[in-house]
Amino acid sequence: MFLEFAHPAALAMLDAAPVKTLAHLSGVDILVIAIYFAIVIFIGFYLKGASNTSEEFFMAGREMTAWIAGLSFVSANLGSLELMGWAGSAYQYGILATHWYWIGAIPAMLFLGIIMMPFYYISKTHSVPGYLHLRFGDGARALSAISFAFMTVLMSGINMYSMALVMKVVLGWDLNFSIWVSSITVAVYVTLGGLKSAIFNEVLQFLLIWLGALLVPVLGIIEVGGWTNLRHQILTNLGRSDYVHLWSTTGHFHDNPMGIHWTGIVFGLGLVISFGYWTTDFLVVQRVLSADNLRSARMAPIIGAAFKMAVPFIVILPGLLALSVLPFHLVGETQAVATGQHSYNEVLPLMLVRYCGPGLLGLGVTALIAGFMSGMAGNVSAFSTVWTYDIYGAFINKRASDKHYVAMGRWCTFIGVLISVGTAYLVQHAASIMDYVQGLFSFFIAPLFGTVILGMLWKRATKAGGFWGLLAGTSTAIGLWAWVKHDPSALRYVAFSPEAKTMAEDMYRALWSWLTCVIVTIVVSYMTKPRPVAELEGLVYGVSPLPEEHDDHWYQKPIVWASIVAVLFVVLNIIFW
Amino acid sequence: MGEHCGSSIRGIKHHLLVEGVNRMRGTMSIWFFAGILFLFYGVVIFGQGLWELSHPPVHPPVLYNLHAPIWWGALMGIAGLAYTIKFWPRVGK
Repeated sequence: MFLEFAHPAALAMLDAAPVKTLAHLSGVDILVIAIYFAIVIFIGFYLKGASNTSEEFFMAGREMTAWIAGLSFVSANLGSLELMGWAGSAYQYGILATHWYWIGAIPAMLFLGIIMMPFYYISKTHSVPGYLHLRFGDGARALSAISFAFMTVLMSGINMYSMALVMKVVLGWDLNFSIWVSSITVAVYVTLGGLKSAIFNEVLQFLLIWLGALLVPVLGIIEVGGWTNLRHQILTNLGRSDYVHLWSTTGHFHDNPMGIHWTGIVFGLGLVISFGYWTTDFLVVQRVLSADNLRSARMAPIIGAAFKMAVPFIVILPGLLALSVLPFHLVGETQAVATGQHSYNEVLPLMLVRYCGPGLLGLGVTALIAGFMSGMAGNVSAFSTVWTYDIYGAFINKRASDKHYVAMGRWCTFIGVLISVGTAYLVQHAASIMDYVQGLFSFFIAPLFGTVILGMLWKRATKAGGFWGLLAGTSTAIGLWAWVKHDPSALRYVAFSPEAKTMAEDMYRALWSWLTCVIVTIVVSYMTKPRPVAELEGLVYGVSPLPEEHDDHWYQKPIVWASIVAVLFVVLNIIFW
Repeated sequence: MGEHCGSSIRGIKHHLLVEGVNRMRGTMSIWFFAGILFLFYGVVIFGQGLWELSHPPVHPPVLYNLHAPIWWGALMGIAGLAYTIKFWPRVGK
């Protein structure tokens, strides 16, 4: 999800550490990387002529098939820092990290496809703030759009800096080289081809990640002699069994390496953070809005969910395998810098180097680079859309021509990349900003979900209720974060336990901010005058009939595929209980 | 007459170049790009695997004896070839 390295600022210590590269690329590896850059630039130039109107540039012409929109939907979130961060978390916390891919994604993605997508799609909105505008007016839209645009480019810059550091540690590449080459490439192909170019590259990136990363778990499982042997070896090496259970150790904070209780996982992660991110973060929702019809828009998140469910195989499993096969122990960033050992976050590159020689190593590195560039492209294309439609077009220049807005979108893409580069250099000199910004990003997601879901499902929700609920929820998240920052003992109230780790704190904070948003929205709505029902047509459940979908066969219905994915999800959780 | 002839030629040129390219643009699928990329990577990695048979690396990776580049490269190459052929852009399709 959007939480990547647990302590990004700690990662910045590597900048000052002596250079110790994990791998050296051969000529074949460089060739593999170079051809990837050539293809993404070519795609940008090729699609330039197909991005002339605002509908084409910002919404990819709304002509993406369910498969392309679905792969892009899941790929926009599958950045390389996420892969490396969660592989490191699997090494540190065991199989519990899988929750972020299963209960932390699958139910929300299916809910988006089955329940929410019809409203996003038939309202013909261009963005999530755009839906808030239709449902709650300009106040909620402005609050949501400004916070999203601001945080998106900052996050993009932080990811850029983190990735450049990773390239320095893994390959010994210069920071400036990594930052400028990747950002210029992204700027070129997104500025030229708009969202369509970003989506095309995201699909390629998704395939590349699987090609580049799949060999690690396959060869790893062969080396350890199967899953049962892996469990035994982890038990022998660590002397504890809680690293290989998803749920059975979450009955108490003491019983698992993450220091978390199942209520935090189910309600904080599964209900609030996950639904907030997957159903209201415009970075991912924009991909689904580009679908060519309502059926594709509903199928896209379901296809994405099926692939998301398989991602732990290439992310979590390598972390667990490392616990068994690596001849040394990995440590936290601080200790790694002080002692010269390898850190948790290096587990995926270490496993890549362990199994992959020339050629395959280049493919793995290309997957990491592609993941990073795709994440950045997603950020800047979403920023460009929200800025142009929901800030510039809504409040600054309402009557410009379509051509003007497209030009504004292209400039925004370019400027978004420049701000990201600036942020990358800023955090290089003030690393603690990374922790703050990453925390800030999560503040807006949970309450936004409260506002959107009430807006879609409850026709009594009013304009004032939506705005004040969103504001109160966001303020609660910021207040709780500041309280724990100022007084760490407050953790016993916020997360029910003084032993709760950062991730557990995030989950409970999200839950409280969401509850505050919902309660305030309901109370204020009952105190204010509701909108006439006729004005809510196409925006709220039960007010207007949804367009009928004419599927020729039962197996074409989205609900059938969503049910299959849901059953698989339950079965997997039981198997790894 | 000459002017008419010239405009006809320009019209034909426009038809062949601009509209032809536009139609190509419509038919060049993302899966074609994926096929080309897979095919290229498959050939390069498969070739590297074969070369390593006669020139084993000084520091071989773990499980080198399985020759992963050969079968992984071959799989990628076959998948890439299939996608490249299936989604090859066809003008006017």
